[in-house]
Amino acid sequence: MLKLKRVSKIHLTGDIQTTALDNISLDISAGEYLAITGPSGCGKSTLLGLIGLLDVPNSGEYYFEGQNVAGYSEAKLNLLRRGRIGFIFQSFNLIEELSVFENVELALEYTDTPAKERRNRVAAMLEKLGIQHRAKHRPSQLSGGQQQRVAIARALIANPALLLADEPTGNLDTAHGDEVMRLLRKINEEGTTVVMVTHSPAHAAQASRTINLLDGRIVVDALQAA
Amino acid sequence: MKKRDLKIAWRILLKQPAHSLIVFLGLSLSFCVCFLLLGYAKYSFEYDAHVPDAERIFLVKHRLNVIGYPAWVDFSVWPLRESLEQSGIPHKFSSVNILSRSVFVDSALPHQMSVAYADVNFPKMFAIRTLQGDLQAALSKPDALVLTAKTALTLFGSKAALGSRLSMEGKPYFVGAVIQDAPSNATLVFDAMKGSTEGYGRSYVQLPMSVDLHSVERRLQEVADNSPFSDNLERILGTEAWNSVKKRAIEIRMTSLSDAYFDPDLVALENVIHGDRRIVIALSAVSLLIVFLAATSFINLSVARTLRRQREIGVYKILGISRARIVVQFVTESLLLSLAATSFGLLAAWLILPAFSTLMSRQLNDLFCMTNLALSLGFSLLVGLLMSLYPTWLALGVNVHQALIGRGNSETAGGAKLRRGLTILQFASAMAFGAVALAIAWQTYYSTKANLGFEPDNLLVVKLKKPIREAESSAFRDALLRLPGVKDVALSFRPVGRDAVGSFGGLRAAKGNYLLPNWEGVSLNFFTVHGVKFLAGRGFDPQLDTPEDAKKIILNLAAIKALGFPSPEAAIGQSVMDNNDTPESRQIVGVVSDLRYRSAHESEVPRSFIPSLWPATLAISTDGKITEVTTQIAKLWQQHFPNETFDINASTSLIAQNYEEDLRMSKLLIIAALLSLAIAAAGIYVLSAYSVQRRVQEIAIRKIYGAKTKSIALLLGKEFGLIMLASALIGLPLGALAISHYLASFVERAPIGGWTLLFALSIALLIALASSLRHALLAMRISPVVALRD
Repeated sequence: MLKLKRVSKIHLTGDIQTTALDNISLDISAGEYLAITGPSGCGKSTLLGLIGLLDVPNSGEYYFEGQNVAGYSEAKLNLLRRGRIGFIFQSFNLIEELSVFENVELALEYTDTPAKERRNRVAAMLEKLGIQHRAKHRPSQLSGGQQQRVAIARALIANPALLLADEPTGNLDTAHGDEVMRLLRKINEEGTTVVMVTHSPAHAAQASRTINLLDGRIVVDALQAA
Repeated sequence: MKKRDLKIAWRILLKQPAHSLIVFLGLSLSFCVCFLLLGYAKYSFEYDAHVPDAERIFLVKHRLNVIGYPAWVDFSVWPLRESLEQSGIPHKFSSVNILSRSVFVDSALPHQMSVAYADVNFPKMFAIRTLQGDLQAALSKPDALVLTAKTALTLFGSKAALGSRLSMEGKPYFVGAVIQDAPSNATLVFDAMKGSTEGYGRSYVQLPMSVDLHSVERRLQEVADNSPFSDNLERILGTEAWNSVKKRAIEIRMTSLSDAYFDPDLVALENVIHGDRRIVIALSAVSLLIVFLAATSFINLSVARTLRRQREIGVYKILGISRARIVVQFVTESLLLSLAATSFGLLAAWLILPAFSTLMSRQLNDLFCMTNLALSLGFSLLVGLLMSLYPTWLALGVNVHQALIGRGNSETAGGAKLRRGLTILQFASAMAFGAVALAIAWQTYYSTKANLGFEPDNLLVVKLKKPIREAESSAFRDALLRLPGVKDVALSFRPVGRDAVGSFGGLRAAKGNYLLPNWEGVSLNFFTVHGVKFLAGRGFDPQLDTPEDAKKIILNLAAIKALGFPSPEAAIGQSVMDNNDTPESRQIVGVVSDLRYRSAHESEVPRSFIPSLWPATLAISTDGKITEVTTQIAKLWQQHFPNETFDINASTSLIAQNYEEDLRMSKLLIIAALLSLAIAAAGIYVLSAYSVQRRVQEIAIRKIYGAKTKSIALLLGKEFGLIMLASALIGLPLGALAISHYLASFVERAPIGGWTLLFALSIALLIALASSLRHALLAMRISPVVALRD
C-alpha cells in the first residue's frame, strides 16, 4: 500500500539544518497495524507527516497506492488525501467553535457527499462510538476521553483506507487510553491500515508490527505475535 | 503603580510592534482631531466670555418688514437711544459701528483696518483695558485714534505708538491710547477705535438683573410702533403696503451678547461673525465618536493579547498577586498607550493648527492654553481607564488551573461578538461619514454651478464708495474700460450672488396682486455683461432707454408670478405702478429667469430691475485672465482712490461665500471619513491577524480533510463579509437619513440618488479587503503539517 524508498527529510530553521529522517525505507501493507516508537525528537511525527501526505520528502521516493508522490504539490496531496487518510492527534485538535456533530462532519465537507447523507453518516458514527448524546456540545464541554472519541469519529467518517494516530493516548488517563487502543484494534480488524506513533511500549505491543526510530533512522523493524 | 508594571506594559506594546503601532497611530490621530474639534467647540461657546456681565448686555436687532427681503439686522434704523431714555427703563446704552478704512503711516502704502466708531460708554461696557494713554479722552477728541496693541505693533514696530501721527480718509490723526487686544473669539473685532456720537451701527443695552428682558422688548416695540418713524413709513409706503405688513414696519428683539455668536437671526448679515450651534455640537459629537472608534481598536488588540496571556495571568495568581495588582497592571498598559497617543496627538494638532484655523476661518492660536492642555490630560486618563475595563475584567476572570494546563485560551462567544461588534461600528461610521461628506460636497458644487440665471465666470466685482453718478466713480469706470483684458463694466446696487437688505417700494399690476420686490438699480448693459437670457421681451437698450429711465422696468420670474401674470410673455408691455412717495407707472420691457442672488438654501424673491445711476457695485467682464486684470485694477484704484479700501472679488468667489459653512462641513466630514476608514482598516487588520492566529489549527485540519485554498479564503471571507454586511446595514441607512436631513434645507437640490452611499460602501469594501488580504494569504499558505505540532 505504502512504500518509502531512501526517504530523507531536513528541517530548516533560519540557518540551522536538522535531519529529521535519514534515508528511511519502509513498506506498509494494506491492513497492517504498525506502531512507530522512539525517543523524543527521533523523527516519529515527521515520518507520520510524510506517510499522511502532509509533507513531502527532500529526497527519495514515496509510493502511495502505487503513485510516486515525492514531488507532488500541496493541492495534489490534498486531493489524494481526501477521504483516504484519517488522522488522530495527541491534543485531539477539535475545533472549539464547532459542535461535536460539526467537528465530525468537517471530514466530509470537502468531499462530494450530499448534505443529507453526510448528516446520516455522522449520526451513525457518533452512535457507534457512543457519543451521540453529546452531539450538540462543544469540545471543551467533554472529557479527554470523549474528545478523543470525537476525533476518532472524525478520522473514520470518510471510511479511510489508512488511519494515522500521533500519540493518541498521550493526554488520556489509563482507562481512557486503553479504551482508545481497543477502538484502534477494532478498526484495524475491520480492515483499515493503522499506523500509530506512541511512547508507550505497552501500547506499541498491541500492534502487529513495530519499528523503532533513532536519530531519524529505523533501528528495529519487528513483527509481533498477535 | 510600580516600575515593573510600566516595564511589562512597554514590553507588551513592543511584542507585536506593527499591531501596536497601527493602534497607536489611530489613537493619536483621533486625539489630534478630538482636541482640535473640541477646542473649536469650546472656543465657539466662549465667544464674548471675556466681557463681564455678557449675559446682561443685549444687542438690539431690528427687522424691517417693508422691504422685499425682510431680514434681521444688527444696526439701528430709528432713534433707539432716545426712545430708551424716554422709556424710563434703567439701562446703559452704547453704540458702535465697525467700518473698513485705509490708514497711512509715513508711507504711500495703506494699511487696511477695521475701525470701531464707538461712543464713550463702549469701553466700560465691554471692559476694554487701557495699556497706554487716556482712553476716554481719546474717544472725546475728533482727531484721536485708539489702537489695539497688535495694531500699534504692526504700524509702529518697536517705536512707541502713543502720540504718533497717522492719517485716515485724508485726515490727520494721532494715537491717543493703546488698548489690550481682545481675544479672537469676540463678535466685535476691530483694529482701532474712534470716538463717535452719531449713534449708527450696533446698539447694545446693558440691563440690571432686576429688569425683565421681555418687558423691555415689549416696551421698545410699543415705542417703535407709535414713533414718528413708523408714521413716516406708513406715509411713504401707502396704505396698501402698510396693510400688507400688518401695520408693523419694524420688529424689535434683543439677544444677549453671550448668545449673539450663535443667533440664527444674524446669519444673513455680511461682516458678522457667526456660528451654527448645531454644527458645533455635531462636530463635537463626531470628534468623540472618532476617539471611541480608535479606542475600540485598542480594546480589540488588548483583548486578543489578554487571551494569549492567560498562562501569565495564571502564574500571577498562583504566586499570590492580588486582584488589585492585576488591575493596576492592565490599567497601566492602557494608560501608557493613551498618554503616549495623546502626546503625539497634541504634537500633530499643534503642527496642523494653522491649516485647521484656515479651514474654520477662525484664529485658533489660543487653543494650546494651559486649561485646554489640562483638560486633554484628564480626557486621556479617562479614555485610558475606560479602554482598560473589558481587558481587565477578562484578566480577572482567568481560571488559574485551565490557564496553566493550556486550555484557557479560548475566547468566549460574547467576547468574540463584542469585538466583531466594535469593528462593525468602525466601518458603519466610516460609510456614514463618507456618504454624507460626498453628498454635501456634491450639493455644494451643484449649488455654485447650476441654475444661477447668469454666467459668473470671468466676472470681477468691485465696490465703490460713491454711486456712479459721482464724477470720480464714473471716471474710474471709464478708466476700467480702457484696461486691456476688460471687456465691459456693468453697475448694480449689489453683486449678483450676494443678497442684502433691499430698498423700499411696492409694485402693483393693473389687475394683479401687490408685492414688495427687491429693487435692483442697474446700468443699461447689466444683463449683457452678466450673460442673462430673457424669457420674454428685451434688456435695457441704450438706443431706447436712458440710464435713469423711470418708465421702464424688467422683472424676474418670481415677480411675474407674484403679480399674477399668467406667463412671462403676457407681462411684456403691461404697466405696473410702483407705490413710492410719488407713484409712477412703469412699462415691463423684459422678463428674466430668477437670477440667483441667494444661496440654494432659499427661494429667490421677486426682483425688479430699473435703470439707475445710483449703483456703486461694478461687475467687470474680463477676457479670462483674472489675476492679471485684478492687478491692473488694483493699480488703477490706487490712482483714483488712494485713501479708500480696495475690495475686489471674483463673482464665483462671492457665490461660493454662500456655501462656506457647507464646504467647511464637507471637508471636515471627509477628514472624519478618512480617519474612520483608517481606524476601521487598522481594526480589521488586527482582527484578521488574530482570527487567523486563533484558527491556525482549524485551517490545518481543514486542509488535512481536503479543503482547497479557495475554501479557506471563503471561510475567512465569510467572517469579514458578515461584518461588512452588518456595517452597511447600519451605516448606510444612517448616512441616507443624514443626507436627506441636510438636503431638506435646500430649495434647489442636486440630483444625488444613491451614488454617494454606493461609493462609500465600495471604498469601505476595498479598504476591508486590502487590510485583511495579508493575513488571508498567510492563512491560505498554512501547511497541514502544522496540525501535528502542539
